[in-house]
Amino acid sequence: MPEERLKKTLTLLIAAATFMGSVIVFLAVEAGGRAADAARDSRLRGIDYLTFTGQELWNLEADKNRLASFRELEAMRQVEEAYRLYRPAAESAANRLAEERFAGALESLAASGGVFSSRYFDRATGRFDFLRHFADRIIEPSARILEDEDRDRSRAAFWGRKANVYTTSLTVLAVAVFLMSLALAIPAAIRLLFAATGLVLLAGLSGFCLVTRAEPLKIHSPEDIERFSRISARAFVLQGYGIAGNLDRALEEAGALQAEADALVQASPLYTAARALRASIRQAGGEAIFYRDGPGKASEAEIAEARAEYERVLEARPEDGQTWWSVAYGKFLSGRHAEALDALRRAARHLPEQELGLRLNEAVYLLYLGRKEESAAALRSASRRAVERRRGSDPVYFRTVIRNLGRLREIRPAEGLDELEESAKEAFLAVSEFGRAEPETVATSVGPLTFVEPVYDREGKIVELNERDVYPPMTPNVSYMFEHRSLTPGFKTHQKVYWRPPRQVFWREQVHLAKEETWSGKVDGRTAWTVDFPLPGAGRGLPAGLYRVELYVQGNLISRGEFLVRQ
Amino acid sequence: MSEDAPDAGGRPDSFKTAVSVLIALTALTGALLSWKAARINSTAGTGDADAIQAALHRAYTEMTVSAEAVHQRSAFQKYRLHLLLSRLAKNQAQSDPGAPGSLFDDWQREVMKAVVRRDALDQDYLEREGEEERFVEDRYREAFRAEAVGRKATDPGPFIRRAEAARSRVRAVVSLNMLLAAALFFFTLSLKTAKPGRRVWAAAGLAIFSAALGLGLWRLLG
Repeated sequence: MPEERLKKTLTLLIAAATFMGSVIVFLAVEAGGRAADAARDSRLRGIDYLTFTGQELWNLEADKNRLASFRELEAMRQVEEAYRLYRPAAESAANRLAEERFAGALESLAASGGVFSSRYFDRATGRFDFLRHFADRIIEPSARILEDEDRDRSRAAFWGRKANVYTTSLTVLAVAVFLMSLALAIPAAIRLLFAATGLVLLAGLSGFCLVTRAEPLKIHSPEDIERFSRISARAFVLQGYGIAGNLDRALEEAGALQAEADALVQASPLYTAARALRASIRQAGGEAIFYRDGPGKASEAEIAEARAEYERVLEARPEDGQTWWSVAYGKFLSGRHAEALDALRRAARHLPEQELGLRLNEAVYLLYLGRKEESAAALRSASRRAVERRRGSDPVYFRTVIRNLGRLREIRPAEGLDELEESAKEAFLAVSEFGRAEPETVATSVGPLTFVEPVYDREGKIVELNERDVYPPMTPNVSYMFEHRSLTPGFKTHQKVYWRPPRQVFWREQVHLAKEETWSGKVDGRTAWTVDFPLPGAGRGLPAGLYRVELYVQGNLISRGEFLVRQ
Repeated sequence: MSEDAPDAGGRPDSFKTAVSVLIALTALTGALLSWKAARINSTAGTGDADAIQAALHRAYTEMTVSAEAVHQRSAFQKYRLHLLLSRLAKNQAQSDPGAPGSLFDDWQREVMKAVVRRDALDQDYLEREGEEERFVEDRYREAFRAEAVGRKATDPGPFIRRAEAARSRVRAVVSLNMLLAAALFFFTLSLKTAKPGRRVWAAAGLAIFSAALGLGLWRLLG
């Protein structure tokens, strides 16, 4: 009888759905358990990361202590050597012996390995590659732990998603069972519709659960993580060379790394972090060419390659603010200023903590778009933010933008760039020294800085001042003179010194050569100041390179000049 | 007469009564197993939390131990440096009879510096190797770690294993629900099938139910 058969079929279908429900519950429990395991492992990796860095930073401190001992011994040896050379032979025996002792201790220390291994330490020059040492000791192992942590997090998300799908399936299953039960209870013809809907839901659900069950977990292999960590450490060194303006070495490192990064991405195309790393290496290479040789096809090729890779990264991580910032910077270097500004503003949505750096860059991009007033407003807004919410990273952002502006002025001049650089320097000083967004306006005027070499008489009195702006190697100090008017006593004056080493392109602020003074001299007159190497008695002097001295009154950049120390 | 109807004497069909009782028992067993699975699952959660707490204790311990060990290592290196300088001065004094008098002062100064540095060291972890001494950092770390750890667990391994074992039990227990659901299906089938086939379905359901029950008891009690 059709009525009886329908009821029988529906009853059996409900029983089958119960069985199916038990299978889905099992799948949900299994997926949930795996998600919980992976989430726990991910947290444990996070703790491992903190433990590791905590321990290694102490070890790094010990290495620094050994290096400090080495430098101290070397300085003492140099002092003894200097005395031995200056004194008559009969009086210098003790100096000779001390020099020999220090040399013996230095040899012993240098031969003790570890931080003094040839990978980091050049015995001939006494130079230590701290960047590489830090990359090997901290960056590479940290990258490995963090990638493992990321891998566990991906596993947790994968299984968590599956568990959610199964839980949702159970709800749908309950609806299907309800519809079929209803079909058993009601006499009307509509029950056929209910029964059919329940059946369709059951069939669809079975297919959906099978597809979910079969979906494979796509995570990168431990070997890929190993390669990624190695490349990350070297990319850190590459970035370090770039920041320091050591562009030849940066290019050398980028060239060596590109092939490795390409191979990693080829082997593991779904490894988004590897793609981001590859893009950052390309961009660093392009940036080095840009700042060394100026804008051109060579830098553009690298930057375009990086941009394409970053865009693929953004497809996987559309809310990654750091990647948006990198895209913005790449577009700026390529001269696509409007697009760069757009990307920078997208980065700002996801990087609230980097607000200052982003706004400072916005000021630069706006200037290159010819929007000078908006650029000045962006700089003011950045300074106001820095005054309202001070962060330890503020000086880094100010110094970076000032460094880049200095270089851009030479290789890609734009109208108003000088003023922007000057305003950025004044803003930095106003924020850090006066707690103001802009310097206070003053009526003081200072003439050009004249670099001079004093000539002393036998009693140590200055008898003559010879104007000169080129000095011999190891010069311990350089004097300069300036005329000033309306320099009110009580005003704060600052001397800032920037240095550009030979064959390098960026000016670097020399914080140890800076000077601050509350003015107590005459309101109008002529004054001499000096750029002193700290601890002048240590037998060392200003390193070779071009120096720029800037004079500030109440935070206003009021005069500047340059001198050279020969190699 | 329908199959569901009572027999001629007005008594209900005893087969159907028995199967209905079995269905109820199966459902009840399923509920009990689910409750047990939930309880075991909470053990797994506790294991995860304990593992994280142990890892945090380990992090604290290792950082403290590193700070102390590095302090000792640096002090030992400075001690060795002054000792070396004192020996070099002594050798110079011994090999050069005409050496200036200040050499003796230099020697004594370095000796004193070495002594002061050595006093700052934990002497228990200095080991003599011929003429030289060495700082046994591994032993120092081990001892300091034991002191810092106290009674707190610092190895997440056992807790991880406990959590994983609990989850494995949960999976096993929940998988039994599939057997119970299969038994329910056969019991229902037996109710909807005419004689004599219904006994075969009921027997199949009973066999699966018994197997699930046995496995469940073995899993939970074993």
